[in-house]
Amino acid sequence: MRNRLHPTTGARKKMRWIVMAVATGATLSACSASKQREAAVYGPTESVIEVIAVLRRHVPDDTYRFPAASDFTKRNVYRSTLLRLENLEKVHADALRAGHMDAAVAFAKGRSLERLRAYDLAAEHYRAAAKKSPRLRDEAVRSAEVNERIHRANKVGIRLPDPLPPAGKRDPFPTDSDHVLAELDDRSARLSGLIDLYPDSHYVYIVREEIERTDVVRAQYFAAMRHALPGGQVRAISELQRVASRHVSSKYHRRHLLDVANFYARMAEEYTQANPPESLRFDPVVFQELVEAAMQIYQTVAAEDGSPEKIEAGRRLEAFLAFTLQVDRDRFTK
Amino acid sequence: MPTATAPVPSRSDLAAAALAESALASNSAEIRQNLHHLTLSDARLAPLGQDLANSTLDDPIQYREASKKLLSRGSLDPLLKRRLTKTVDGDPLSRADGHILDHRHTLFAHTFNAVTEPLGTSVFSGMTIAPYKVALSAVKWAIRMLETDPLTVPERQALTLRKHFLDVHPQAEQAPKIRNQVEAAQEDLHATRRRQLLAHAGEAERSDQPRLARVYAQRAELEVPGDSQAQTIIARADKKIARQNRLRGRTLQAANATPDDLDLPSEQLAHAALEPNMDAGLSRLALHRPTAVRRVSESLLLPDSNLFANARALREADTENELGDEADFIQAIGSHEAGNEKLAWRQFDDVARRLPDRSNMARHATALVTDPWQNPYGSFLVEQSRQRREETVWYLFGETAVPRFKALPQAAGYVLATPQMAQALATAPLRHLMGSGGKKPNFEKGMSVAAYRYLERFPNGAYRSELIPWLYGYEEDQENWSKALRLADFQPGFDPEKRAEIVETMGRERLKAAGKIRRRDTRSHVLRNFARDFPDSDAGASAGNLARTEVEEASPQTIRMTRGFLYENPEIAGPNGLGLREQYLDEDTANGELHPRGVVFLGGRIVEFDFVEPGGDEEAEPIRIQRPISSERLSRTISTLEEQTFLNARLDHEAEIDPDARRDLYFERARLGLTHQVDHRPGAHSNFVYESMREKYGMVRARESILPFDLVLQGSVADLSLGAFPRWRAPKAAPDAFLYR
Repeated sequence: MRNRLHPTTGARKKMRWIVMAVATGATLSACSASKQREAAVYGPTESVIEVIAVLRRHVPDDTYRFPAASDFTKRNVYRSTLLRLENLEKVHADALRAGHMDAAVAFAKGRSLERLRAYDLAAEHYRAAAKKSPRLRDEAVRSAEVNERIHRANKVGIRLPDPLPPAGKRDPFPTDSDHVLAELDDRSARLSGLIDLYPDSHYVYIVREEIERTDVVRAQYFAAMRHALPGGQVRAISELQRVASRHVSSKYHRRHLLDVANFYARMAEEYTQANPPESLRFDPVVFQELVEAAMQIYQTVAAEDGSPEKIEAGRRLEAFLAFTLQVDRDRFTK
Repeated sequence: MPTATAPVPSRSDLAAAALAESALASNSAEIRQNLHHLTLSDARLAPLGQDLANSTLDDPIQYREASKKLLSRGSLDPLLKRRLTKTVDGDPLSRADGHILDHRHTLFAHTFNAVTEPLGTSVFSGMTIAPYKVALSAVKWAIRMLETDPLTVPERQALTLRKHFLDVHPQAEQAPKIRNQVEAAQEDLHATRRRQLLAHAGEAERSDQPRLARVYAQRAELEVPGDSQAQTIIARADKKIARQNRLRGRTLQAANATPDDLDLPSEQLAHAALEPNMDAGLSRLALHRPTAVRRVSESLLLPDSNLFANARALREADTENELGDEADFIQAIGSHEAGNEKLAWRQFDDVARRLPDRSNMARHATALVTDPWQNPYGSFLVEQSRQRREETVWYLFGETAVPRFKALPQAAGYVLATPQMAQALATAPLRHLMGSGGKKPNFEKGMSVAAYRYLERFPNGAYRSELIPWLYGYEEDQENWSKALRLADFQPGFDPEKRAEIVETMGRERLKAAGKIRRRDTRSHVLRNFARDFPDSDAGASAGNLARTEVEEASPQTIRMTRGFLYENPEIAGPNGLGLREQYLDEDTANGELHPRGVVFLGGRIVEFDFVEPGGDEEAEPIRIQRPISSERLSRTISTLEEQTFLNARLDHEAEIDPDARRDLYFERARLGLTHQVDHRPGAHSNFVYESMREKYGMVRARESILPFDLVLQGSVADLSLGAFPRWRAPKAAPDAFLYR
């Protein structure tokens, strides 16, 4: 009987061949992988060119209508560019110390930062690039000015409050709605002026995004203040609808519609809390109107293929229908 | 500002910088000139420079064309090649065509498998049954084709991509053709939605929800205006709703008699005072109210009223036995309030069984008896008989399911399932003998819900002693140890040894579960609680020890790089990174070697280096050395680490690093040198591990077969079949397919 631990010479030979073949295969594949890796290792210049090429391709993107592109790390391409440029500055600090790439890097960071809404920082980087490169000066100065104007415009009027502000930094909404409205209109006008000044640049998209945000702030202000202002509910709903109708081509259009539907749903819930369905105060017609408005919008958004809002709308619709089940069927007829 | 020691940039570096600047400034004349300079100074950089120049084209279509041209040149470095290939493949129209191809491929795969599977499984079982199997498979294939939506998910994905193309390039050359494709697909999309909505409407109708059915059918009609099937459902639903409204109206009908009328002799009240469509017998009863009835009615509403006396008084006053069921109902309420639960439900049940047109209390008794919250024990019994029924069906027919179709009536499902059910029925004993019947579903869930409801409602009820042991057994079977323990504590004289055993089992489960909790504060909380609740158990002691270790060894971060990862990426350990001595990573334990655990970022500037102990035992616990490193080194190490992982991910998609926002937040702060403010929030803690490819995937990575089909060897006890056949692999669903369903 053969001993399994001590194979015969023939078997040993066979095994040796197999081991050699596997080892050769592994070595060859390892060699090819390491060759590929060597070829892929970029020096500082190649790395910077690569990052700038990726960014430059997405500079003219219309980020108002379409979501920002993502790179191979699945990150927002502008954020990824910024991170990679900062990494490269650290990793290749010695090679880049001569400063020959400084202007390009600063300008590229400016282009990234303005898409990340850090307009003041973007302006600083543009100014730095303008100082260092005559080639970039004109464009850098113009970009710095635009960014500074956007930054100044954004400082006008209220901002959406942070729901979890650091201790002692709570900034409640002002109650003078006319003043708030006047300021936000001023902000919109300042921003709209920039579109007229630079109609053919990518700043049109950036500014449209800011105008959209201003409209959202305005609507959210009225939504938050609806119990404090006279006719607040009607005003809030009309402001939310205004955002949805003014920004039909925006990438956030479905989100705006969902905001309207969510508001109707919230009102329906608040209505049942204030007027329990079993109570004599409950008016089925009012409730029905709120429910129908919310459901109709949820259904519209849920029918849109390919967007995450489709899932959200579908699930919210289900949740809302579940809520309506709590209302006795003699008080609410679907 | 450049220092005296700064290396002087080469000509190619300067040319590249000039090209980058002109590209950013979008100056085409300068781009051409600088690209020429770059190509002359360093040919190796030429393709990258050309790509940079292409990126200024500002039109995705033109950029893709230029990238294709660049790719066709060949001899590109692997990173650029991959990036350009990805760009070219990202063309929405090509991707849309790819989805259409996927759809056709899926149809082909189903057709192919419909032929090969029955033939393959017939070879060993005897070809005599082959015609039958092929015929059955053909029927199934035909049904599948019928069931396929007019616009499948891949086609919907293609439609969205084409719409996106039209949005971005409304004036493109291909736009008119794409517009036609979109219009045609849009019609199919409406038909698909109509079909899905009608299926929902059908389900709502079957579950007796006419209002919901109506809503779905109305929406279907919006998709395809004038759809006859939708209109039929709406009409049917309207009829049902009208009937429900009629019945509801009837339940609200009452005599118009005022309280004053009740004092009058019943004969004086005219029948005309009642609703015209009210049952004559009931009308007479409602009017026939002597003074005694009024007294009983009033007495019933008073606190501490004697319900039995009231029931008796009602019977005595009612010489014609017309109010007998009211008296019985009051009697049952009395029994229930006196704590005689069993008798009370028997009495309610007795009233509920009477004919509704003879007894006006039958419907009230039925409502009570069938309400799962009013009569939880009754609900338990109902669930028990359902459980027995379902378990028997499962035993006999196994997991054979009657298919439901969108395009065919339910009967078709039964017809199709009949042969399978017959086979399952014949082989049931064998299946259960061999234990191949699959996992038994939890049929008793409904019973447990009713039992818990009973105990909640009647904690000292008559059935408590029956239900608690039953629930204990149920939870033990389900291995819900904490619930079982709670139920055991409710049973007087429960075996203490058994109780201790449950505590230990539960403890082991709890420790295992705690190990899976990511947040250290939640984990620590769970462990502390268990140690406090069960201090005398072994599991409680272990939990206490673990909780203590958690506190002692807690760190703001635990981001780890294994030794294998550092072997594969020596740049991170080298002078541009951690600056570790080479001897610690030379696979020689004699001169000191990192432990396989590697290096851990603990938060702030603290890094833990784990070394193999002097004896060289890699399996043993490491020697942990924690040291602060300078902000500059930390920042450079993290930059190198990220650049390395990016590089790896681009060369090999399986080397992609999973996203982790907490890790990235720490890295971002470290890169900016903000490590003096340590983020101690438990929610900011990351325990991400960078592993080598071998640690991730083992020695040999699983590869997909190059054959387009799998070779399947299939045997089934259910139909006593054995066979081998090729099964064509249908294309995998795209990751975003869930956004189209």
